[in-house]
Amino acid sequence: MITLRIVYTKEGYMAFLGHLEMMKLFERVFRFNKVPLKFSEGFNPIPRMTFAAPLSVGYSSKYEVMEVLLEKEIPMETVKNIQFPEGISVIDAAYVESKKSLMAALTHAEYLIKVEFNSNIERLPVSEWIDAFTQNKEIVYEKKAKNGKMKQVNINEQIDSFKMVFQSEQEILFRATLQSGSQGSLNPETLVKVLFETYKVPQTIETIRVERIGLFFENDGVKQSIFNLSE
Amino acid sequence: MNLEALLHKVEKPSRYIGGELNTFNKEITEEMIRFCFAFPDVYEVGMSHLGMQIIYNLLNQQEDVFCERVFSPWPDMEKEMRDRGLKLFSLEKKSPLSEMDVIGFTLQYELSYTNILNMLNLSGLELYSKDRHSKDPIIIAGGPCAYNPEPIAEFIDMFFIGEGEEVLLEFVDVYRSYKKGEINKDELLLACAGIEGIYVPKYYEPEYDNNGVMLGYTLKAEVPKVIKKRFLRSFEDGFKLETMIVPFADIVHDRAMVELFRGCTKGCRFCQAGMLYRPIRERKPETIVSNIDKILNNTGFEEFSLTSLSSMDYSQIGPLVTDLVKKYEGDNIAVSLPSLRLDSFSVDVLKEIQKVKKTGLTFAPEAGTQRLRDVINKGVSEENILETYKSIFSLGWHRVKLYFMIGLPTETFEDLDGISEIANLGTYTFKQVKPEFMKKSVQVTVSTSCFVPKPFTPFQWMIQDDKESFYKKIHHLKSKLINKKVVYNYHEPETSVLEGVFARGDRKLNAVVKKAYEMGCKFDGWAEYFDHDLWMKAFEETGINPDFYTRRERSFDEFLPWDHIDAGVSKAYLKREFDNAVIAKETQDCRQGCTGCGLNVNLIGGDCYDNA
Repeated sequence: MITLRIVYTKEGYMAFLGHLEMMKLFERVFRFNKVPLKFSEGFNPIPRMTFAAPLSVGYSSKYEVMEVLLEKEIPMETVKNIQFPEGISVIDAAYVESKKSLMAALTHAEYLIKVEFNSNIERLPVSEWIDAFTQNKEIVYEKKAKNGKMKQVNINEQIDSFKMVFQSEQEILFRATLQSGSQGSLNPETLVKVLFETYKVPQTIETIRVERIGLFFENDGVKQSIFNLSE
Repeated sequence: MNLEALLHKVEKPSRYIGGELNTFNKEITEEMIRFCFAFPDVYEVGMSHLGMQIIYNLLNQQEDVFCERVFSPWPDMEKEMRDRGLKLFSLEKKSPLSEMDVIGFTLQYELSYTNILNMLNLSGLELYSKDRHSKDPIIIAGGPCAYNPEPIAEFIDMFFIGEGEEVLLEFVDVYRSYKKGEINKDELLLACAGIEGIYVPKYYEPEYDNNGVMLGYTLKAEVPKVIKKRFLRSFEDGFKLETMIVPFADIVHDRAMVELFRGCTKGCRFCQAGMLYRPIRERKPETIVSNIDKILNNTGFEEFSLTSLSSMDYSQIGPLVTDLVKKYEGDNIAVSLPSLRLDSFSVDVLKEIQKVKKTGLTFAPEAGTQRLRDVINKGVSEENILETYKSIFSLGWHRVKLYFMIGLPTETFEDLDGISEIANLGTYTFKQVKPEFMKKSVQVTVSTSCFVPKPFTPFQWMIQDDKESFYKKIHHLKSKLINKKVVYNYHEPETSVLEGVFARGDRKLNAVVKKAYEMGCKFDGWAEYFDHDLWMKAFEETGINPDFYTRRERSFDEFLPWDHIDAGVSKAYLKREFDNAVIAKETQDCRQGCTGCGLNVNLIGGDCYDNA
């Protein structure tokens, strides 16, 4: 069994493709490029592809990771030159031996979060708030669980790092590494909303734009890029 | 324009982003003729349309033509656009439609007319042709509903009747002189009116008697009295679609499509397509095979469909399907056929297809009794139905879908009972023949649609059932289809009645379409948006009685609003077929011998079919 792991971007208009659309796009681009796909058994054989973490529609990304099983190896040169629609490009690829699934191994994702307000927020002490916010042991928010019921989650257990990058008249840019994966995930928009709710900010948020910039797994307490997942 | 801000607010934003595989993006120069193909429905429906793919590629092969696309924005997107004053834009360049030279609408069904007006309005264009200036785009339209263009003739500058491949290029030729400023808009319209297959309604003024019945058209310029439909003489040598846009979104028909033939020889009397797309013209199997190879190489599709009006009637369908399955099985590329006949031969072909992908089974007996099937000339016998049941169920299928029409001419409640008998025969036969391993139980799904008499069919003079009568029949069926293994779905009669009004409408209806649009009607083909009461109000306020179009039996010598269009089939033939229908007399498939529809005499000037 040959596993090809690919790192790619999802930017521009491609940010608006949903996860199912992405899976179909990858299959068709692979078929178009004559990549020797390995198919599942059964009545309706489908290509064996896994994506480390589905990205919400509207989020862009500089770092997405997926794996596809192949019948035989093709030159790395060919893989890196596969043409996707504008906005998606392969930035790294490797054949891997790993038996661990990307989805199961993933623990954290890193984001840039740009928040736009409808009025001036330049004077808000956002950096101080973040410090206080992250030092606070417990900030609870409500989240819809898989069974549909609301459950209480402590947001601080889900934050690995949270910083403000800059602040202008009506805009703030954050950078955050948050829990993401089978252990639980923190939505970057939720983080920002909870922050501003905690400090009762009177200004209204106009838009929140999110870009993912990294996907990680934890190995002996050290975070590494999911692309390097081995064993 | 900040399109991205809007895209964050709407559902399925991929409908509006363009940039799919095999789309074009040409540089806009002074000489470039900008054409926008407009589909008056949502992206997923429009992108499933083969005609759009053909025209898109045909036009973009021309160096000085750039064909882009636009679809109806879904109401959530429309609201965002209107709130921000954003005009309707093309998917390729995201240009406002007012910057186009030509906007070409496809008329696939009557209930998309309000969407056309909405798209014109969203583009900032005047609705009426007469109110648009020479700097505005030329608005053209084609497709099956263009065969009776009258209900929207005041909004469209010109209609293209029949197959578009040749006539569009002839139009572009004339348009080049207009673009260079050598002729003005009136000269362009007049020159186009002289091209065979192009109808410019402003030169044809309808005349009515005191009751609103048409008397004929007065010609306002030197234009042909009758507009003949266009069709490719040789389909084999015609433009071949060798690539397709590969959509991102999950569209209705998400696969490669390859045409086997055009036209149909069955002669079903209710079927407008069967009359309009004559004559039958097949492509050679080797042409089809190489075509499929190219299209799959260019797209990466995992499935392809062999399309036509009745693919099982392709003269070499058996060997063709066997070859194709053998060729693509290894790559997990599936073959699909859009329509199956009720016979054992279809089942054999089906067995081949299922090697790659198991699909559901759908058959269309159309009517419940032999008598009524003979009225509509649907050549399906009771033995055919029984034999088909036996073979599919013994092969291990346990679910089947059956399509019927209600409101067919001469229909009685006995014919409706026949529908229930056919469904029950299915569940009974299943128990007799099912294989031992079959643990699942049988399910027969019956779907009924409401019959709409269409122009250029033998039923074009007939009364259509009214809403109440359709509902009575539906309730009757509900009370009969009580077998627990039978599921019954029906199409709402209200939309079919409205479709009936526009199918056989005249130019007076333009006012109704406009009124309905202004009152808020749109996406009328979608149950969640169709507003019957609003439409009835629009009729009332414009003083037009819809029953005039649906509930009135026309005499054979009445001038019909589409009598200035020549679809090839003669009125004499349609009358003859009408008479045969009334006495339930079958007419043979014209592959077995000419049935004299007149197409060979009127449009071909010789025998109909080569290699068919």
